[in-house]
Amino acid sequence: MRHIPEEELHAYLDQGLSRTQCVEIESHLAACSSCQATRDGIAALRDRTTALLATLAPPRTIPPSFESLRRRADEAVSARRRRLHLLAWAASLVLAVGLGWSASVIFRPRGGGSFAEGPASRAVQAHTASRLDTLRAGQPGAAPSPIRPAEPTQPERPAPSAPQPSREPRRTSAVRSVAYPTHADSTTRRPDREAVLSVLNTQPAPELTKLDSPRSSGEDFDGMWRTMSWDGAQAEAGKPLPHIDGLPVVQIQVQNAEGTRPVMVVAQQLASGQVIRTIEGSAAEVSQLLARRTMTDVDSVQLRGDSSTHTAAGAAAIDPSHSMAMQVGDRMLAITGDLPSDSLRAMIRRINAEMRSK
Amino acid sequence: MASVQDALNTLTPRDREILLLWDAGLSYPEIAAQTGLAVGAVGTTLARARRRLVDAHDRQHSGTGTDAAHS
Repeated sequence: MRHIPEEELHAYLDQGLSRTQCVEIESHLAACSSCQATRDGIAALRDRTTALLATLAPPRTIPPSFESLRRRADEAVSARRRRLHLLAWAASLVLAVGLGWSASVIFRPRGGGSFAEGPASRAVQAHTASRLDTLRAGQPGAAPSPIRPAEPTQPERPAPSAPQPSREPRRTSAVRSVAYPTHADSTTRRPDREAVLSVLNTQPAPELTKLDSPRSSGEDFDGMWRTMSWDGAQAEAGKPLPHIDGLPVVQIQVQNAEGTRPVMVVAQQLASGQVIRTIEGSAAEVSQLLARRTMTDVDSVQLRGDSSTHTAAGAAAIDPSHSMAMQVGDRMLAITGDLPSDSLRAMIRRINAEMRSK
Repeated sequence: MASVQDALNTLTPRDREILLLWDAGLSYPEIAAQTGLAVGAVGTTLARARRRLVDAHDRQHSGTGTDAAHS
């Protein structure tokens, strides 16, 4: 009788045999006590091997119970709720304080409290006072205000023969020290700036432009002006237009003069957005133009001296902060812009040199 | 545990691999497919590996005076 090989008994116990093999082995084991002993020995060896290898296995991690997981989740939720409640409480406190402060500011009597002492409120009050003074001054018999309002937008340009409103009170008034009038100035300047930045008409410009808005910034000029294209203006002038090479030309204005070449005003834009204007014409026209412009300019310094009395080819500082003029013979070349006087002087010398070389 | 690991190290790599695969729960055909052995050879290899492991473990414990009863 053939006994069962040991490896087959291993496979039998490991369930690695086919059903037929298992039936054969079981039928033999039922009749063979030797093989039964061997089988029991192999089973013990198998169990012992399993026990030994089990000591190599990593420690089993027992998952936490459902109760502990639920308890942990509840704690997390309650902590989040506590944080939210704390945040909501803090936010409501801030809101209440803010509302209280706003209410105290709104319902506080005017003229008192710290709010009315701020520079902004001073500016508003001063501006309001200046408005009222302006209205009062326009009424007949109104008492002159001790503080002349620094109204940057003069409603009407005064006639040259009319007495100029005194500038001194403006400079000494408290209104001059605040920046509020700048806003009103910019609002009135906008249409003029739009006109300055408008695209040039390529045609020789039959359009007549009446610059009748007496600007205070000195960027516009009185009289009948024609806005012309570059070529049209150059053809009319019969000579190179006064300009600075390299700067885009945004507008050319021409004013006819009697018996002489017209007065040319070339507006060019700097990279900073500022517009500078180069004026070329007869000395009388240009000096008169600059003088009128300076007189209407609230912020500019008064014309110092008569530019027509300067000698030929001499530079005359008409307005150190806004314009520079140079007279050559009976012609005058001027440049205006909100630039330092040194810059304007350098520009006008450059223009003069270029125009002479051409 | 260190003694079991030492006992394992005494086995050949093939015997150790098949013993650990069987301990991981793979069936004979799966072990055969994993190692490239014939299915019939898996039982033979397992029988040898088990005996060598237990003998090596018993030798270690008998050398230190520990009771290493062999079943």
